[in-house]
Amino acid sequence: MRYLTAFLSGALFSIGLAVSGMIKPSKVIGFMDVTGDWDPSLGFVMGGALLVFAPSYRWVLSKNERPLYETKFDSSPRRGITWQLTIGSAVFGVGWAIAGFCPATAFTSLPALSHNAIGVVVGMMAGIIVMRSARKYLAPSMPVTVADF
Amino acid sequence: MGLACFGLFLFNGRTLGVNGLLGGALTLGAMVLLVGIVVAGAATLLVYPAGFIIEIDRSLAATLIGGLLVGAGTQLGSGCTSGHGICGIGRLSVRSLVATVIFMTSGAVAVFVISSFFGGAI
Repeated sequence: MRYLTAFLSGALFSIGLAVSGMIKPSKVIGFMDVTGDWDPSLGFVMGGALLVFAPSYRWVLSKNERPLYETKFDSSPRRGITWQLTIGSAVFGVGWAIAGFCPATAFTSLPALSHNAIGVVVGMMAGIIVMRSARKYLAPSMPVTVADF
Repeated sequence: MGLACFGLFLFNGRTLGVNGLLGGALTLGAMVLLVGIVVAGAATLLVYPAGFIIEIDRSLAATLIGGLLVGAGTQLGSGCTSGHGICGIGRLSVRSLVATVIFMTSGAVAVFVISSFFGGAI
């Protein structure tokens, strides 16, 4: 059951990305093109997702001791505003602008087999492997994220 | 998308972040979610192919380098658009808000550079 809900969440998220147009690199570039022909639609899509998720997140926590199919809620460790967060996010933004895809949209677009989506997924996997190897030097205190479900 | 984040949190107790899925041990749950994203992408492609047209000019080399920076940056910064931008801000996390402002800003600077000095194509 937990795998079914994981599958359905991924699928629903993916359909949302595709139908809202957010898998189009031109939408992403348009949102970032603040000095040119600015397209605010990505902001509305993210805002819409937040309007649903923010209150429902509070509701889940207030009504449930634990998730329905797991033993506990995942609590991301709060580590404050570290240099890793700042530099990592800055690097991601530049990569996003060059690639036109973020991690989720690259996977949603993968079945279209464009050189763009394939290139980004391959490059991204390489980047993740490199950074995971380098992380013990860059951020020894940083806990490794484990998707343990 | 908000509903998907809500469902995953209610049923599985997880926040939805694609970078986090890839960075951790590739467990069955993480792989199933990723497969869900790709399968739904394929299904949507069949009924709505127009949504998958690429309208920007990027070489294969640019997508590989961009992907490399996306992978490395999100790993170091502990989150991507879904992880920080939607789930993190949705949980009222200040660090996710800061991360989102930073990656939107550096992205805007990069887009400015690409359109001003490279004519929008790299």
